[in-house]
Amino acid sequence: MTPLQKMAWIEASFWIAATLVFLALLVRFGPGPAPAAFALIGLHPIAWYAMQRRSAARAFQPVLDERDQEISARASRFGFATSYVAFVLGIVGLQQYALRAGDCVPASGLMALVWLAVALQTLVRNASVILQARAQEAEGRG
Amino acid sequence: MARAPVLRCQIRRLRFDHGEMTQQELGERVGVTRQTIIALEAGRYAPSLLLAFRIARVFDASVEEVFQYEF
Repeated sequence: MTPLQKMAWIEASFWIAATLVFLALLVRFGPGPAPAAFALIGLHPIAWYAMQRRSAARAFQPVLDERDQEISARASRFGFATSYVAFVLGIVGLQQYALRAGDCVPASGLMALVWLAVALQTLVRNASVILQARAQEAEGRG
Repeated sequence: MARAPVLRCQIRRLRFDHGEMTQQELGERVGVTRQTIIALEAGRYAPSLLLAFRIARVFDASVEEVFQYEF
């Protein structure tokens, strides 16, 4: 597994955990305080630091080569495209909700939507990194 | 219907011809990860021109001896 794939797993884990906590807070306390769950993302660099320390031979020098960069760029485009479509659909949904309720669009809903769009972008990007890397390396070991 | 072009490479054979060089060793000599060498040998990744030249230089061969473009 390359450093890029490891980083993708770590990042995806943190965002999945944060999204799950967000959903739990949303159910328990409502949309206002729920985005606080995304503060968990702040711990993400600690995991990256710990992973680097274990690899003493290459401490703080992740080997990212041209294939990693290509995979990463393609995955980022895919992640942003997916997140953009989801965000626009979310905005339309919120607007419809507000129109039906005869109220204005809730600011807390917009905030939650922004965080969810970022979470989706990160999840799709990291999943894409892992799948692309695996597909290229399949059937080639030996 | 036209066939998709295929990039074939002789890296695996050349590695064994050069003292059974490992994928890790080749990767280190050309500045890429072992996984990239794996992907190249599997024909699932087309390298940049610079990487192709670096690999050819390790084997003291021309780029055409290492990579063949079939279409």
